[in-house]
Amino acid sequence: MTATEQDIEARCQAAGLVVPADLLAGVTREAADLLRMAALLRGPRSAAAEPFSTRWPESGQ
Amino acid sequence: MTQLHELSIAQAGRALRDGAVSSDELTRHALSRIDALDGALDAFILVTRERALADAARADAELRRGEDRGPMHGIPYGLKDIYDTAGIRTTCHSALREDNVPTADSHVAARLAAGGGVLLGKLGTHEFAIGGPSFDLPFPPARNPWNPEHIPGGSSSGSGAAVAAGMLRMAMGSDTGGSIRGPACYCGIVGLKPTYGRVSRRGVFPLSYSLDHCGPLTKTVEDTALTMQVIAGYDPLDPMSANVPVPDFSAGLRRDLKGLTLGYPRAFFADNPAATPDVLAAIDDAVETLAGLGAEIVPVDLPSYNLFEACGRVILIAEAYAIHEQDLKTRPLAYGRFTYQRIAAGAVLSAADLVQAFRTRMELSAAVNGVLAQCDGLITATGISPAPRFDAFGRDATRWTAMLTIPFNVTGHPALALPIGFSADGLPLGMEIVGRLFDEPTVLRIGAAYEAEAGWHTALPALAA
Repeated sequence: MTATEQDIEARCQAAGLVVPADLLAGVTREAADLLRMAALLRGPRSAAAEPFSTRWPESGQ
Repeated sequence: MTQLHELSIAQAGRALRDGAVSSDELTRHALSRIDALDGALDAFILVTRERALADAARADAELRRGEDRGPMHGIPYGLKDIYDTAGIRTTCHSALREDNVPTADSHVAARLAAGGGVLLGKLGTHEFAIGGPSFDLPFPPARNPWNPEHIPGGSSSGSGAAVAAGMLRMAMGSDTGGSIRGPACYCGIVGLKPTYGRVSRRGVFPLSYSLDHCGPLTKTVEDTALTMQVIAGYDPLDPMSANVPVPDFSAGLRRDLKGLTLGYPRAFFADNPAATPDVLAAIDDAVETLAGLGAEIVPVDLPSYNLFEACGRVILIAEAYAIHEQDLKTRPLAYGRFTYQRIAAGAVLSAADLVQAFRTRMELSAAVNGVLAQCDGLITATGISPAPRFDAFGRDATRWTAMLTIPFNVTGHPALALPIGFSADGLPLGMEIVGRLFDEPTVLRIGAAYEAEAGWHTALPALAA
């Protein structure tokens, strides 16, 4: 088992999710892809990116 | 001679009002096409035959009395099977909700009913609007009318297939990462993802609260504009519904494009290694056509697609995981494989991941708003390759279709998909027109002008009916 697969399994366990063995390979591939994408979002952001909410000010909300 | 299923919503509306056709005739013709075609296409999960005929009879009686409920009065339509319909089963194409019969209509279903529309039935979707194309669900996946060995796109797969096959003129879809625009692209029809907040999502099963949009799939841009006139508007019971005026969505139709500036972020999609030459050539041709109609085309840059995709996918899967968490833990085998594998992957995301995604979203929204401050719309790709074959998908969820649509779910801008030609093997190709927030009329104006000039909307798949 690779380090990434071990990490994904540990994260699923921490979340209380028991993945059926037959579905594990697909979940692992999807999760690895998701973690790769999440890593892209960790760059420095400007102060204007403060997530005061998930709403858009333009929508009048 | 024009057959009844070839009448646009506007044409059918005029014929209904001058007595040339009845809603009953339109409805029976649509039902006969469904009977003839749906066995091969599997667009419908449920055909509401009795309801449709009752709706049609009511519409005919009202129109005879001079009561006019608007552009959808007497017009047959369908709903993706994640839209609640009172007393009518709403399954989300899933074994988990196979026996679910809502007690109330979704907001859109209620609007269409109040507008005198004729509900033909409930349309297939990827399971919970994310899973397919899947063969391990209670209902088969819809097929592409241009070639049934190919997918029609998803997740509004039945909606796209049914409109392209001429079973109906309008079907409602939902779009969280491209689920209206993808089927529109692959099926050679029109699909609008309106501005976030423009159309209420109340009573539509959520996939991702902050990315979900409701919108129509139609054969023409005008049909989309007419549908929007019925379904758009503030709903205080959808927390994200926007309390803004509803415009005349048809106001810009039948105008040229003089005075409009369109941004063309070609590198945004052309640099993607999955983009095929026929798609790139078709979009370049479409841009030339738009220029010929009077638009000024200017090159613009958008942030990297990879950043949009990462932002959108993290939010989508995190929110979907939150919605499905209990069922994923207690009934994992009730899901189709693709659905379970995609959503369960959300277990690995952290709170920090989601916050970073929302921060990125603020920056990306600001960047797109900045570009749209300099131009009236953007021209970009929907799918960067034609519809794949069903057998291109393996047993496990490893493939997402090559759609560049999620950026405008992330930012909330209105985005219209429409056909721009065909690949060498006869599959539809499409482009996407993106507008400023709540400026659907300009998006529809651009789309209608292109459509009238290019004429791709008149192409019909060869179907035995």
